[in-house]
Amino acid sequence: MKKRILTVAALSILGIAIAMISCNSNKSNNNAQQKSSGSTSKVDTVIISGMQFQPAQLTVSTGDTVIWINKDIVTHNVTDSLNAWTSGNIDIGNSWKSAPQKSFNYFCSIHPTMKGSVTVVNK
Amino acid sequence: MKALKSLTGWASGLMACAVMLSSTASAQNTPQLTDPEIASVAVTANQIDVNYGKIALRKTKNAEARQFAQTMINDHQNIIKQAVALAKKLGVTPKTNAVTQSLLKGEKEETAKLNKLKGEAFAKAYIDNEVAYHEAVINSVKTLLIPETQNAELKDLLVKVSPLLDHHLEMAKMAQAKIK
Ligand SMILES: [Cu+2]
Repeated sequence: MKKRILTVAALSILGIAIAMISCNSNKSNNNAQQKSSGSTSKVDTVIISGMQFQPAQLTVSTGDTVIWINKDIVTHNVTDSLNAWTSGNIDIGNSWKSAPQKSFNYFCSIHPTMKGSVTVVNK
Repeated sequence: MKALKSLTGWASGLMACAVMLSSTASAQNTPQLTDPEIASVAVTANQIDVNYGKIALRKTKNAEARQFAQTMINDHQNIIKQAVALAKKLGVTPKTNAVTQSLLKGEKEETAKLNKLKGEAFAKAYIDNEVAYHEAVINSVKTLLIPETQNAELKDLLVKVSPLLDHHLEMAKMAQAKIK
Protein backbone atom coordinates (compact mmCIF):
# COMPACT_ATOMS: atom_id res chain seq x y z
CA MET A 1 0.00 0.00 0.00
CA LYS A 2 2.69 2.43 1.07
CA LYS A 3 4.75 1.47 -1.94
CA ARG A 4 1.80 2.20 -4.22
CA ILE A 5 1.34 5.65 -2.70
CA LEU A 6 5.03 6.32 -3.23
CA THR A 7 4.79 5.18 -6.83
CA VAL A 8 1.78 7.42 -7.40
CA ALA A 9 3.58 10.32 -5.78
CA ALA A 10 6.67 9.69 -7.87
CA LEU A 11 4.59 9.49 -11.04
CA SER A 12 2.75 12.70 -10.28
CA ILE A 13 6.01 14.51 -9.56
CA LEU A 14 7.31 13.17 -12.85
CA GLY A 15 4.08 14.37 -14.50
CA ILE A 16 4.56 17.83 -13.08
CA ALA A 17 8.17 17.87 -14.23
CA ILE A 18 7.14 16.87 -17.76
CA ALA A 19 4.37 19.47 -17.74
CA MET A 20 6.87 22.10 -16.63
CA ILE A 21 9.36 21.12 -19.28
CA SER A 22 6.74 21.15 -22.05
CA CYS A 23 5.35 24.41 -20.73
CA ASN A 24 8.80 25.97 -20.77
CA SER A 25 9.51 24.70 -24.24
CA ASN A 26 6.22 26.20 -25.43
CA LYS A 27 7.23 29.42 -23.86
CA SER A 28 10.64 29.50 -25.49
CA ASN A 29 9.12 28.50 -28.84
CA ASN A 30 6.75 31.39 -28.50
CA ASN A 31 9.54 33.72 -27.60
CA ALA A 32 11.63 32.44 -30.46
CA GLN A 33 8.79 32.96 -32.90
CA GLN A 34 8.09 36.40 -31.63
CA LYS A 35 11.75 37.29 -31.62
CA SER A 36 12.16 36.20 -35.21
CA SER A 37 9.36 38.59 -36.15
CA GLY A 38 11.36 41.39 -34.57
CA SER A 39 9.43 41.65 -31.29
CA THR A 40 10.50 40.95 -27.70
CA SER A 41 7.04 39.92 -26.53
CA LYS A 42 6.83 37.44 -23.74
CA VAL A 43 4.30 35.30 -21.92
CA ASP A 44 3.35 36.24 -18.37
CA THR A 45 1.69 33.66 -16.16
CA VAL A 46 -0.94 34.11 -13.47
CA ILE A 47 -1.51 30.99 -11.38
CA ILE A 48 -4.98 30.58 -9.88
CA SER A 49 -4.51 28.70 -6.64
CA GLY A 50 -5.85 28.83 -3.08
CA MET A 51 -8.64 31.18 -4.23
CA GLN A 52 -6.09 33.76 -5.37
CA PHE A 53 -4.69 35.13 -8.58
CA GLN A 54 -0.90 34.89 -8.20
CA PRO A 55 0.43 37.47 -8.73
CA ALA A 56 -2.70 39.52 -8.12
CA GLN A 57 -1.00 42.60 -9.56
CA LEU A 58 0.83 42.03 -12.79
CA THR A 59 2.64 44.54 -15.00
CA VAL A 60 3.24 43.61 -18.64
CA SER A 61 4.42 45.35 -21.81
CA THR A 62 2.17 46.00 -24.79
CA GLY A 63 2.13 42.93 -27.01
CA ASP A 64 2.76 40.49 -24.17
CA THR A 65 0.48 37.53 -23.65
CA VAL A 66 -0.94 36.76 -20.23
CA ILE A 67 -1.95 33.22 -19.43
CA TRP A 68 -4.11 32.31 -16.42
CA ILE A 69 -3.66 28.70 -15.30
CA ASN A 70 -6.22 27.19 -12.93
CA LYS A 71 -4.34 25.05 -10.42
CA ASP A 72 -7.09 25.35 -7.84
CA ILE A 73 -9.69 22.79 -6.77
CA VAL A 74 -12.73 24.51 -8.34
CA THR A 75 -13.68 26.26 -11.60
CA HIS A 76 -12.83 29.97 -11.86
CA ASN A 77 -12.97 32.72 -14.49
CA VAL A 78 -11.30 36.00 -15.35
CA THR A 79 -13.85 38.79 -15.78
CA ASP A 80 -13.30 42.48 -16.44
CA SER A 81 -14.27 44.50 -13.36
CA LEU A 82 -16.62 46.56 -15.55
CA ASN A 83 -18.04 43.36 -17.03
CA ALA A 84 -16.82 44.32 -20.51
CA TRP A 85 -15.58 40.76 -21.17
CA THR A 86 -15.04 37.39 -19.50
CA SER A 87 -12.84 34.37 -20.10
CA GLY A 88 -15.77 32.06 -19.44
CA ASN A 89 -15.24 29.05 -17.19
CA ILE A 90 -11.63 27.97 -16.67
CA ASP A 91 -11.97 24.43 -15.35
CA ILE A 92 -9.43 22.76 -13.04
CA GLY A 93 -6.18 22.23 -14.95
CA ASN A 94 -7.23 24.48 -17.85
CA SER A 95 -5.91 27.88 -18.83
CA TRP A 96 -6.93 31.04 -20.68
CA LYS A 97 -4.80 33.50 -22.67
CA SER A 98 -5.15 37.15 -23.54
CA ALA A 99 -2.91 39.80 -25.09
CA PRO A 100 -4.16 42.93 -23.33
CA GLN A 101 -3.86 46.27 -25.11
CA LYS A 102 -4.65 48.34 -22.03
CA SER A 103 -4.65 48.05 -18.24
CA PHE A 104 -7.62 46.54 -16.45
CA ASN A 105 -8.90 45.31 -13.11
CA TYR A 106 -10.55 41.92 -13.02
CA PHE A 107 -12.25 39.46 -10.72
CA CYS A 108 -13.72 35.96 -10.74
CA SER A 109 -17.46 36.40 -11.25
CA ILE A 110 -18.07 32.99 -9.63
CA HIS A 111 -16.13 34.09 -6.52
CA PRO A 112 -16.31 37.90 -6.52
CA THR A 113 -13.93 38.10 -3.57
CA MET A 114 -11.08 37.04 -5.93
CA LYS A 115 -9.54 40.08 -7.58
CA GLY A 116 -6.56 41.05 -9.69
CA SER A 117 -5.18 43.65 -12.06
CA VAL A 118 -3.03 43.82 -15.15
CA THR A 119 -1.12 47.00 -15.87
CA VAL A 120 0.02 47.39 -19.46
CA VAL A 121 2.99 49.69 -20.05
CA ASN A 122 4.38 50.81 -23.37
CA LYS A 123 7.76 49.39 -24.26
CA MET B 1 -36.72 32.54 16.39
CA LYS B 2 -37.22 28.99 17.56
CA ALA B 3 -35.67 27.79 14.33
CA LEU B 4 -32.73 30.12 14.77
CA LYS B 5 -32.25 28.80 18.25
CA SER B 6 -32.19 25.20 17.08
CA LEU B 7 -29.76 26.08 14.30
CA THR B 8 -27.45 27.86 16.69
CA GLY B 9 -27.83 24.95 19.05
CA TRP B 10 -26.85 22.57 16.32
CA ALA B 11 -23.91 24.67 15.14
CA SER B 12 -22.55 25.06 18.64
CA GLY B 13 -23.23 21.39 19.26
CA LEU B 14 -21.07 20.54 16.28
CA MET B 15 -18.35 22.84 17.53
CA ALA B 16 -18.59 21.50 21.08
CA CYS B 17 -18.32 18.02 19.62
CA ALA B 18 -15.30 19.11 17.60
CA VAL B 19 -13.64 20.74 20.58
CA MET B 20 -14.37 17.75 22.77
CA LEU B 21 -12.96 15.35 20.21
CA SER B 22 -9.83 17.37 19.62
CA SER B 23 -9.11 17.89 23.32
CA THR B 24 -9.58 14.18 24.00
CA ALA B 25 -7.30 13.53 21.07
CA SER B 26 -4.51 15.68 22.45
CA ALA B 27 -5.01 14.26 25.93
CA GLN B 28 -4.56 10.71 24.71
CA ASN B 29 -2.26 11.72 21.92
CA THR B 30 -4.21 9.49 19.53
CA PRO B 31 -6.57 10.70 16.80
CA GLN B 32 -10.23 10.32 17.59
CA LEU B 33 -11.20 10.32 13.94
CA THR B 34 -9.55 7.93 11.53
CA ASP B 35 -8.92 8.93 7.92
CA PRO B 36 -11.93 6.90 6.67
CA GLU B 37 -14.06 8.79 9.22
CA ILE B 38 -12.59 12.14 8.17
CA ALA B 39 -13.32 11.29 4.53
CA SER B 40 -16.92 10.57 5.52
CA VAL B 41 -17.23 13.90 7.38
CA ALA B 42 -15.70 15.79 4.44
CA VAL B 43 -17.96 14.23 1.80
CA THR B 44 -21.06 14.61 3.99
CA ALA B 45 -20.36 18.25 4.85
CA ASN B 46 -19.98 19.07 1.14
CA GLN B 47 -23.02 17.05 0.13
CA ILE B 48 -25.21 18.83 2.68
CA ASP B 49 -24.35 22.21 1.20
CA VAL B 50 -25.10 20.88 -2.30
CA ASN B 51 -28.49 19.72 -0.99
CA TYR B 52 -29.25 23.13 0.56
CA GLY B 53 -28.33 24.74 -2.75
CA LYS B 54 -30.73 22.45 -4.62
CA ILE B 55 -33.54 23.37 -2.22
CA ALA B 56 -32.77 27.05 -2.87
CA LEU B 57 -32.88 26.64 -6.66
CA ARG B 58 -36.21 24.86 -6.32
CA LYS B 59 -37.77 27.37 -3.94
CA THR B 60 -36.48 30.88 -4.55
CA LYS B 61 -36.58 33.40 -7.37
CA ASN B 62 -34.24 35.75 -5.52
CA ALA B 63 -31.37 36.28 -7.98
CA GLU B 64 -28.75 36.78 -5.26
CA ALA B 65 -29.71 33.57 -3.46
CA ARG B 66 -29.92 31.60 -6.73
CA GLN B 67 -26.49 32.67 -7.92
CA PHE B 68 -24.93 31.85 -4.57
CA ALA B 69 -26.73 28.48 -4.48
CA GLN B 70 -25.48 27.55 -7.96
CA THR B 71 -21.89 28.36 -6.97
CA MET B 72 -22.26 26.25 -3.81
CA ILE B 73 -23.59 23.32 -5.85
CA ASN B 74 -20.79 23.53 -8.44
CA ASP B 75 -17.94 24.09 -5.98
CA HIS B 76 -18.99 21.53 -3.39
CA GLN B 77 -19.71 18.92 -6.07
CA ASN B 78 -16.24 19.56 -7.43
CA ILE B 79 -14.73 18.97 -3.98
CA ILE B 80 -16.73 15.78 -3.48
CA LYS B 81 -15.51 14.48 -6.82
CA GLN B 82 -11.89 15.09 -5.80
CA ALA B 83 -12.38 13.71 -2.28
CA VAL B 84 -14.01 10.54 -3.62
CA ALA B 85 -11.31 10.11 -6.27
CA LEU B 86 -8.58 10.59 -3.66
CA ALA B 87 -10.21 8.18 -1.20
CA LYS B 88 -10.48 5.59 -3.96
CA LYS B 89 -6.85 6.10 -4.94
CA LEU B 90 -5.74 5.72 -1.32
CA GLY B 91 -7.99 2.72 -0.77
CA VAL B 92 -9.90 4.59 1.95
CA THR B 93 -13.59 3.76 2.35
CA PRO B 94 -15.47 6.63 4.05
CA LYS B 95 -16.80 5.45 7.40
CA THR B 96 -19.72 7.04 9.21
CA ASN B 97 -19.15 8.36 12.74
CA ALA B 98 -20.52 10.71 15.42
CA VAL B 99 -19.54 13.90 13.55
CA THR B 100 -21.11 12.68 10.28
CA GLN B 101 -24.27 11.74 12.17
CA SER B 102 -24.45 15.13 13.88
CA LEU B 103 -24.08 16.84 10.49
CA LEU B 104 -26.90 14.74 9.04
CA LYS B 105 -29.13 15.47 12.03
CA GLY B 106 -28.52 19.20 11.55
CA GLU B 107 -29.32 18.89 7.86
CA LYS B 108 -32.60 17.13 8.59
CA GLU B 109 -33.72 19.86 10.99
CA GLU B 110 -32.64 22.70 8.71
CA THR B 111 -34.27 21.11 5.67
CA ALA B 112 -37.58 20.74 7.53
CA LYS B 113 -37.37 24.40 8.49
CA LEU B 114 -36.48 25.61 4.97
CA ASN B 115 -39.23 23.53 3.39
CA LYS B 116 -41.85 25.37 5.45
CA LEU B 117 -40.74 28.82 4.28
CA LYS B 118 -41.59 30.76 1.13
CA GLY B 119 -40.57 33.86 -0.77
CA GLU B 120 -38.21 36.34 0.83
CA ALA B 121 -38.47 34.58 4.19
CA PHE B 122 -37.03 31.48 2.54
CA ALA B 123 -34.23 33.38 0.79
CA LYS B 124 -33.25 35.01 4.06
CA ALA B 125 -33.35 31.75 6.03
CA TYR B 126 -31.33 29.99 3.32
CA ILE B 127 -28.58 32.59 3.28
CA ASP B 128 -28.54 32.95 7.09
CA ASN B 129 -28.02 29.21 7.34
CA GLU B 130 -25.25 29.33 4.71
CA VAL B 131 -23.38 31.86 6.87
CA ALA B 132 -23.84 29.75 10.02
CA TYR B 133 -23.10 26.49 8.23
CA HIS B 134 -19.89 27.70 6.62
CA GLU B 135 -18.74 29.14 9.95
CA ALA B 136 -19.34 25.79 11.66
CA VAL B 137 -17.69 23.77 8.87
CA ILE B 138 -14.65 26.09 8.71
CA ASN B 139 -14.24 25.64 12.44
CA SER B 140 -14.41 21.85 12.17
CA VAL B 141 -12.04 21.68 9.21
CA LYS B 142 -9.43 23.86 10.90
CA THR B 143 -9.63 22.58 14.46
CA LEU B 144 -10.61 18.96 13.96
CA LEU B 145 -10.24 17.54 10.46
CA ILE B 146 -6.91 19.00 9.36
CA PRO B 147 -5.09 18.34 12.67
CA GLU B 148 -6.35 14.76 12.86
CA THR B 149 -5.82 13.65 9.28
CA GLN B 150 -2.99 11.15 8.97
CA ASN B 151 -2.62 10.80 5.21
CA ALA B 152 -0.66 13.67 3.68
CA GLU B 153 -2.71 13.87 0.47
CA LEU B 154 -6.02 13.88 2.32
CA LYS B 155 -4.68 16.56 4.66
CA ASP B 156 -3.48 18.54 1.65
CA LEU B 157 -6.94 18.47 0.08
CA LEU B 158 -8.49 19.73 3.32
CA VAL B 159 -5.87 22.49 3.55
CA LYS B 160 -6.74 23.51 -0.03
CA VAL B 161 -10.46 23.51 0.77
CA SER B 162 -9.97 26.00 3.64
CA PRO B 163 -9.55 29.20 1.57
CA LEU B 164 -12.51 28.14 -0.60
CA LEU B 165 -14.70 27.84 2.49
CA ASP B 166 -13.44 31.22 3.73
CA HIS B 167 -14.44 32.80 0.40
CA HIS B 168 -17.82 31.08 0.49
CA LEU B 169 -18.40 32.55 3.94
CA GLU B 170 -17.48 36.04 2.67
CA MET B 171 -19.79 35.58 -0.32
CA ALA B 172 -22.60 34.35 1.94
CA LYS B 173 -22.19 37.44 4.13
CA MET B 174 -22.25 39.70 1.07
CA ALA B 175 -25.44 38.03 -0.16
CA GLN B 176 -26.89 38.20 3.35
CA ALA B 177 -26.39 41.97 3.39
CA LYS B 178 -28.40 42.25 0.16
CA ILE B 179 -31.24 39.90 1.19
CA LYS B 180 -33.36 41.50 3.86
CU1 LIG C 1 -13.42 31.77 -8.81
